Amino acid sequence: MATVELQGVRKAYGALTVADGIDLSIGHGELVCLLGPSGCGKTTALRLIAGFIAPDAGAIVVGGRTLSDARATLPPERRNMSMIFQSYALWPHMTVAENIAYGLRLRLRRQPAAEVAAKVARILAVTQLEALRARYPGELSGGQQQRVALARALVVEPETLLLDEPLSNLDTNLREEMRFEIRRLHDAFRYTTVYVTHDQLEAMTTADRIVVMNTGRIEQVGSPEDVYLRPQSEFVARFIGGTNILHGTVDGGVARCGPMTVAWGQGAAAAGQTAISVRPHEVELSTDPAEGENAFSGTVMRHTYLGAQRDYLLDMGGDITLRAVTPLDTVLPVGAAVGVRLPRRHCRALPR
Amino acid sequence: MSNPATIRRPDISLLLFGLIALGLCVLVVLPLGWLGWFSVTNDQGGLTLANFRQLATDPALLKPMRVTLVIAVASAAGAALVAIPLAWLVARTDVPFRGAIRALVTASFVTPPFLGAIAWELLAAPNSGILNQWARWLFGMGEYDYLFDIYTVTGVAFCIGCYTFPYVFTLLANALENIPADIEDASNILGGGAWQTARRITLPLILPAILAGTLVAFLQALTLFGTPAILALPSGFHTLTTKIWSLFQYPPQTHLAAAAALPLLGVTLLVLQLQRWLLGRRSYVVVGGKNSPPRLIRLKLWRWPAFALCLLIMLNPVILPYAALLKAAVVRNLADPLAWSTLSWKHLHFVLWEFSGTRLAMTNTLVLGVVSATVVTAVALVVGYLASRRLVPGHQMLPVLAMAPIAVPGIVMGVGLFLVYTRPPFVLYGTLWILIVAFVTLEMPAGFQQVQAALRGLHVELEEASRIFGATRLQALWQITAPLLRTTIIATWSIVFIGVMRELSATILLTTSETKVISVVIYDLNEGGDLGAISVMGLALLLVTFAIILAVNRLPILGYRAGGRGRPAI
Repeated sequence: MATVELQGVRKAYGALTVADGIDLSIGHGELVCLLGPSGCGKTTALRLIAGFIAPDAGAIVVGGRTLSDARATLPPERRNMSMIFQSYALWPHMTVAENIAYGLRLRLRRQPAAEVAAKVARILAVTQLEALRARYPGELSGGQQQRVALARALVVEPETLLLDEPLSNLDTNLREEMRFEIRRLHDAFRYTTVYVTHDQLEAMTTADRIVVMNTGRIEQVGSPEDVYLRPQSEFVARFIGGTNILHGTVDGGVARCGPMTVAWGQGAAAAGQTAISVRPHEVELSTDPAEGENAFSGTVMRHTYLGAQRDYLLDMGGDITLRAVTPLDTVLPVGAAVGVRLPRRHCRALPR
Repeated sequence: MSNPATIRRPDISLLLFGLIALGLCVLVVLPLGWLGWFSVTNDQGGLTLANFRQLATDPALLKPMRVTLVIAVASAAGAALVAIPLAWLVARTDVPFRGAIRALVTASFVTPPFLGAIAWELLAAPNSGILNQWARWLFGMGEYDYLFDIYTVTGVAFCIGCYTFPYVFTLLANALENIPADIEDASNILGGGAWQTARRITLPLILPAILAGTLVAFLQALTLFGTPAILALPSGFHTLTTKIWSLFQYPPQTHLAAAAALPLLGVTLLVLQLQRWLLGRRSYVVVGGKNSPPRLIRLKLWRWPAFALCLLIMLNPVILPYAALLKAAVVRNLADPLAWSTLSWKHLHFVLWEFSGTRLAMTNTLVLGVVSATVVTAVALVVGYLASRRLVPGHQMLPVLAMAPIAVPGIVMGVGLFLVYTRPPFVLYGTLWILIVAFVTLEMPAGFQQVQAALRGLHVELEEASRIFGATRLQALWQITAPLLRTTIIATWSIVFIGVMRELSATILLTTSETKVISVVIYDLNEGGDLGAISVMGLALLLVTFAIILAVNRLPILGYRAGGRGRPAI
């Protein structure tokens, strides 16, 4: 196991910069999620760490060794890493057992075959694949293929484990199950792990730390709670969990956002322009006009029944709309005038 | 280790890239360059436009051009007319024995056109033709009356169409099969009846395939040498290809031949461009999630009449010609009826033991086939790999170079290669090398297309996975990519081998008495009128071809089911 450090890593394809100075330090045995929308550079970062591509500038240091810099790149086969690919990349001409043994045979060249067999047997047991060992990948279901990919990656006991959207090809139920499975296996083996995903739930469930990326840059690094409760930018607030953003100008400790004057209870506003974030489920609605601080009135534009709660879209005047998610007992017809309160302690001023 | 080190050593792929690019350039540019140069010079080496002037004014050249055009248009139109109902029946209806009908189409696809032409001589020569004998007997016609005459423009067009209609059929059948039932259901649910759906949805979707296939059939007819050489020359008329060939007979008029070859090249380029535009304008790959297989239309009462129609169509390219060849191969004299008393091993014996040309031609064909197939497969693999994995700068150029010969008809390539390799510094004429160069060039596009399609279907992550687990690039290639491409490699090799066996248009100009191949020997024997021996050789050629196709399609694929399903490899 090793630390993984990205130092000012930059990569561009022609005019398109896909990694724009990434600095990141991953500790021993830590599971870090690179999270972001497609095209944000997370997969590029992973492939840079794997050595499939070479950085234009900066360095990648693993366990104190520089593996990549602008001058030279150690090829992937000499990095002692393993990887789970988005397509699984199971070799269709090899059985499950052969797929799993492949990496071992390459790495334990001088070791007896018995040891390879023992390790394969052990991992087959851990991943519950014994019954399928003689099958070809084409004969497996998606979830089974996924487990083979996992077994194949774990059996070589890598210093670093890389996962590239490993669950994106599974259906919803299986995906949820596998999220916990990956976390469980990580707790058992404690490999330094870099996990790329665009699904925030996946990141929340599995990661020690989440790295939110956007347009080739890191937006914010922090624990799942950190990035959800204390987003540092509008992008992070929107991407993690979804939120209402009110743009306005700072004026004596409050933000003037169109017709609304909002006081915030957390975060820090930059001087001048600011953005206030308030999560939909923190918005309080009532049939009576709201009173006091951060109290406004609005009109219900749309109402959606979600089973466990209700989802309202509110017209606040001045082209401002708010989403509110409320308990089931808040029943408001479309068109109704409604009192809206944004509790100050849940209003967060974002520096960016 | 603080220095990651040792990676950017001089890359051998760059060297390889350079060599292959150069080689591919030489293959195409050299012959075409000489062709161009010869067309604008005279025997003294002076610049002149006289060749083109003669081309445009000499009736002896103008008439063949007109005839060629008539034949190409007629045969392409005929091919389309026949292929459209046939493809529809096979792809979209429950007509019986669809597999067998497809197999017959494949058979006509791989039948060398010159062999088909010879078979049709047996069938429809005015006097001795079997069909004419039947007609006389059936209708009580006079001894010298006849119903069919294959030695006519119509006969040539018919005979070419017999072996070009599979181009239309294949493209169209694929297009029809790729239309999922949903897309027609969608039209039905919006109120389109069966007829409306066919006209507004299905037809527009398959029209490009029909046109593109017809254009290919047109090009084939335009540039074919064998069929007109066998059927047109005896009755004294020429097509452009036979005319070019005759310009190489004594006294050779190579400059005029070069000029006469250029229109063929020009038309080919034009038509290919048109075809590309037709197929590429809109993407006819139907977009969407789960594709339902097309729905088969139930013909009910019409099933067997429809089958009869298919059979009637397939009589012409395959059933009748093959039967005629078989009969000619086993009866003592050509005019003999088929009976126990007339059976004879004479022709088989002659071909195998008496005729000195056989062994040499077989050896030559085998050597040429093996070498060309191996070279094409190897180069196609390397080019395909370098290009698909973007391993070298300028990789986009390689596929273009590999595909370039597709625009050069066999006879044009023949003229060009003749000009290049009959003079220093490369005197290859009279050796097998010139034929190898010709076959490698002509077959490169077909081989490359196979490999490229396979590599596109091979996810790059399969190889990367192998790298990350500790394999070097070469190990990954050997352990992962090569086994997965095994079927493709064998199929590519076989396609080239079959292509070499049936090539005549370029070969006829490049062969000498020491480098005869089977196709040329068959052509020579035809001039001598020895149809029994031809039939034996022709059937042997067909037998080998079918054996290869069967072997490739039955290849066990080592538990790798994904590639094993679906379309046959050839």
